[in-house]
Amino acid sequence: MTMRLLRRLDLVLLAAVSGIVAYGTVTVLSVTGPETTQRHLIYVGIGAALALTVAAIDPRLYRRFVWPTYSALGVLLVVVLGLEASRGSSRWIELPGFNLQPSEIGKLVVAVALAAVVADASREKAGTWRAFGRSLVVVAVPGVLVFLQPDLGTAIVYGAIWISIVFVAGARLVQLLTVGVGAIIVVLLVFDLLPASGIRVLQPYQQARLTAFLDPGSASDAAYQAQQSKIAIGSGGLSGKGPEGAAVSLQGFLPERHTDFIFAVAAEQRGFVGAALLLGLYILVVWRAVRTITRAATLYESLVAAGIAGMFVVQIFVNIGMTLGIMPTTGIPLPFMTYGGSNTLTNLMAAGLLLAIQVRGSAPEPARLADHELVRGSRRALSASSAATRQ
Amino acid sequence: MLSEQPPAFEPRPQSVALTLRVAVLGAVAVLLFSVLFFRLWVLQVLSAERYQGAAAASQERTVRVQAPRGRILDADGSILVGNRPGDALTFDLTTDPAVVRACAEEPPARPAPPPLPDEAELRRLLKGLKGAARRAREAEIRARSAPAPVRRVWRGCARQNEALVSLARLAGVHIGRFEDRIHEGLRRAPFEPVTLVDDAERTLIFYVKENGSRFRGVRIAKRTLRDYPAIERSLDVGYAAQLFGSIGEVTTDDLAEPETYPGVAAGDVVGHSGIERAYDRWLRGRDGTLNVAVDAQGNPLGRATLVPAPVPGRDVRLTLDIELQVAAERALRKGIRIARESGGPDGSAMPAAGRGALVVMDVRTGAIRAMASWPSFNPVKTIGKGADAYLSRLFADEERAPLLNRATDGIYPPGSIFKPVTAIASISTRLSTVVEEIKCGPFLDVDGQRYKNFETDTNSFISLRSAVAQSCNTYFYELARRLYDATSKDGTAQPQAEWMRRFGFGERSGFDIPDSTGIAPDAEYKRELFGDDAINNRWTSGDAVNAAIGQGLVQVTPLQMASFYAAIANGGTLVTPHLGQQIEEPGGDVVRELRFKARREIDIDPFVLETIRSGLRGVTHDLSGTAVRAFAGFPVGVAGKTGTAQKPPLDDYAWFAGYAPIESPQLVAVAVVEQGGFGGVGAARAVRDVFAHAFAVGRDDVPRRYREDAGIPLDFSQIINGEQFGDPEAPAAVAAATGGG
Repeated sequence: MTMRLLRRLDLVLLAAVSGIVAYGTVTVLSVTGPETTQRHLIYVGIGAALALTVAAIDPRLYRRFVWPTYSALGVLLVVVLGLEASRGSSRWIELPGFNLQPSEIGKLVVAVALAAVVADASREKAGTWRAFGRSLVVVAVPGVLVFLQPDLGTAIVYGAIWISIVFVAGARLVQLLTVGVGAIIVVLLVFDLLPASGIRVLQPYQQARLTAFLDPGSASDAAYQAQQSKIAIGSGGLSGKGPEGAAVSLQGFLPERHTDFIFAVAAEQRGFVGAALLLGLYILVVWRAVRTITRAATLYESLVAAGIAGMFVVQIFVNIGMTLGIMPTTGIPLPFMTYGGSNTLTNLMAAGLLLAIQVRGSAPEPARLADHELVRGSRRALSASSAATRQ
Repeated sequence: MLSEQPPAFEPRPQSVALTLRVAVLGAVAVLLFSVLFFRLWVLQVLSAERYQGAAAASQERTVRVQAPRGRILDADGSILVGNRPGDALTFDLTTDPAVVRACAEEPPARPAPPPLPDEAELRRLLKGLKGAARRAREAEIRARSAPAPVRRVWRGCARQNEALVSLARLAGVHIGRFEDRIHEGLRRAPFEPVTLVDDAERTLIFYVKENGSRFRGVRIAKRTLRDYPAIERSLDVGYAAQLFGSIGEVTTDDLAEPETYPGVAAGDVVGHSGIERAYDRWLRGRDGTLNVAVDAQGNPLGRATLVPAPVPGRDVRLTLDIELQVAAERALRKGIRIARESGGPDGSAMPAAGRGALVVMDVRTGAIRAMASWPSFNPVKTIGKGADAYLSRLFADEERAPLLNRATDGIYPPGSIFKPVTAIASISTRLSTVVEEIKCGPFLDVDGQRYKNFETDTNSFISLRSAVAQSCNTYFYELARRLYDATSKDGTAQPQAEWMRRFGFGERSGFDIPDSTGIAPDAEYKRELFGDDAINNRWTSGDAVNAAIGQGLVQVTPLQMASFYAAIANGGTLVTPHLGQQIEEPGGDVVRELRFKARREIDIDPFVLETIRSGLRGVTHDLSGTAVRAFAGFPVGVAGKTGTAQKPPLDDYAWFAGYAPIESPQLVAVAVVEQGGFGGVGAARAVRDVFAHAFAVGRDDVPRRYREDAGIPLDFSQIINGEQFGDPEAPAAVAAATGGG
């Protein structure tokens, strides 16, 4: 069985992730010292070991521990909020030698919990309001706790995981629209109506980051970062300036250069050729993640893969989009590149999870494609197929 | 497939619906990646050049290195205006775009106030009003036309910037001053750093250096600041303070007209007034640029290059003699004091006397040797801490007007010192002769109007010489009557006005610093002044009579009077008064000698000139001379004229204009004491004292240039013993003087 699993291992995904991690390590090394890089390599090493362990475990096993894990996450997030109240803004729990950021590992917990809840609900009937509402509650509890930290970026990632899962599971358009309209109302409340009536919801720095995106000429630090990032990337040109000549990132004009803005550093050093290569590696990762959705053995595993795919896509797009000046500065790390313990471990474990799902799944059966003629709506098709398979 | 699938697990989802949804998910991902690719391509391929430029710009800092401005030296090379190093604090506007936006705001356009009515219109508006009512109405009309004060909308614009707020507090100035400077700087040169503090104290510089991170955008810039070594500390004034003028960054208006300051660029410091402006093209150096690579915090990386290097400005050497200037200012102050104590009738006090001017000029070349104006100010205080407040106080002091150079811009009725002009005009037009004896009576009736003499007990026929020496008004009334009769109604012949203008009255003198024209009234001037007012707009005999004795509409500057008396002394050459002598390299090599051609040669009968000179000599030497007491015992022969000009409702203005030595005139000196009473008291004493210094009276140990030139004997003992006054080579004149008195 082990040999069979190994043979079925998604080597493309493995190679792409390894490539990005190597790229990230070189980039971190170029803008920090050997000490930081060593630390980064330790995280990568632990992450790789965890990823392979996860790949070897049957993902269905986690379903039994969904609620204890989910509850633990909630407790940790509450602890972080409590710590924040006592010592100012922070997202970490300080452990010896390591700062645990529960919201990072929480991405996987949320993905698994959501997949379990939605899959359970779909056993009876897919696309019901009740199942939809339950999934919304499951994501909203940790999502709001994270948002309150305040960590808008991670909250957005949670939202992306949720959307991917419910969409793949067959959520109806009207359900998604309802949530969309609700979100718009919340945004209006948060940004306009409540502040106008004297209630401050967003922290000033968050407001500044969001408005900086709308007003690039403004003087805030966020606008300065975005401007410097664009200058770094743009000045890299076609072939880049090399690690020595990348003056914008080297001389400290670009902040957060080994964390949030690491893509800008890479783009300045390696130019369009190198940055496009990196984007290509990410496309491979996302492709393999999406492919895993269709190859999964069970709906639950499909949905976990969907959540991970959504998480990757949003993190990649928002982070790189931010460095390119087309997305707000939200502090979302770039998977496999950004220096940092929690996010490196989380993303590598996510990749491991994809591997685990992929090796236990199978190729789609071409014959089933004929179902297409039998159904009109995708929701009905999904529920029908579920029902059919059960018989 | 796992064989032992728990029943709780859903069957493997394989359906078109799922595939479709996954395809949608994939499509979204593809779309998002396409956006990233496109954006990356735009930035790195299409706009690479622009961002490479931006990267270079933010990594290289160019710093303007100010070229030291040339110095202003006196005739002997003493430094009148020098330089001293200073540390300025500037603000890099690019570090805070919010402040830039707020402070750039222009005040809304205001409707222009109604234009001030011209004199004729004003008279029409005030018709029928008298006294206080008239004055009140006039003030009201003028106030209505004054431009409304500008509302400074940008005030408050820098208050969000903590660096600026704390810097203002540390520098002890109101943040509003910074805001004004930022506003001005943005109008002037939007990308140049704005100077916030011109001359920061050392402690402030150290504090800013040590707490650099708290002062983002604030930089320390080396400056050369103006230094004025010639200061009278006891009185808190600088010598020749009104001459030098101020410097400052070139204004946008000046930049719009390139001929004002040739070769000037935004941010350059130029002379705004005085000598600084007159010789700006020499004094101004060319600023250099320091290029240095910096990191994000502005810390320099590697070596800085100075390209182009700054080129220091050239020195300007003036004709001014600082020692004589010191003497002149002291003499003027003393003259004012004497006038205040005893300038009135019978030695009574003139309490309003407190202002005046004294100018000393070379009679042949027009070189100014000393030029004093009182009240004065301390130019050192116009720079550095408290300068803005000090300057606004000086500007606001309209009563004393310490910034006004009264020698060139004070315009006064000249009174009797103007009489030689009338005499020359009359004789040159063949309306009278040198020897003709005209009645010097208590009054003269002209056109049915009675004009009184100053003295009432005189009733003799006198010639020109005595008329000048005694300053007989009725003699000159008679000349005025004849000049008025010779004035044609169509304005083609106006001998009186023509001769005034010939001597430079009513025109600028050509002085280095543009001076006032004064007024040489004639028929045309009256037409302009009174417009359609048919009764008043004509040149009348009364105008002629008043102008003949330097009253009425005649207005002159002390410098104009000096030029006129220089022409009397030098035989009719109307010189161009000037301060500039030569331009030198900082090392002393002469770059250019400055030449000031005489304005014109005036053809005057030498006999007429000689007679007038004799009359002027009589003023100081005759027993009845009006300045004989002031010059009693003075060893150097001085010829001159007193003036006591009426300017109701103010007290009389005291004048003295004279030259010395009589036998070969070197220097002309003109003094005016505002509301100083008789010219023979304060003004004459001021001239006497400055001549005493110039000709080293009583100081054998000091060889003076004027003494050597004048060939005055070094041994004054016999003269001081009182054997004779002044002029040993002209005994005839002495006799005549005694006879005329």
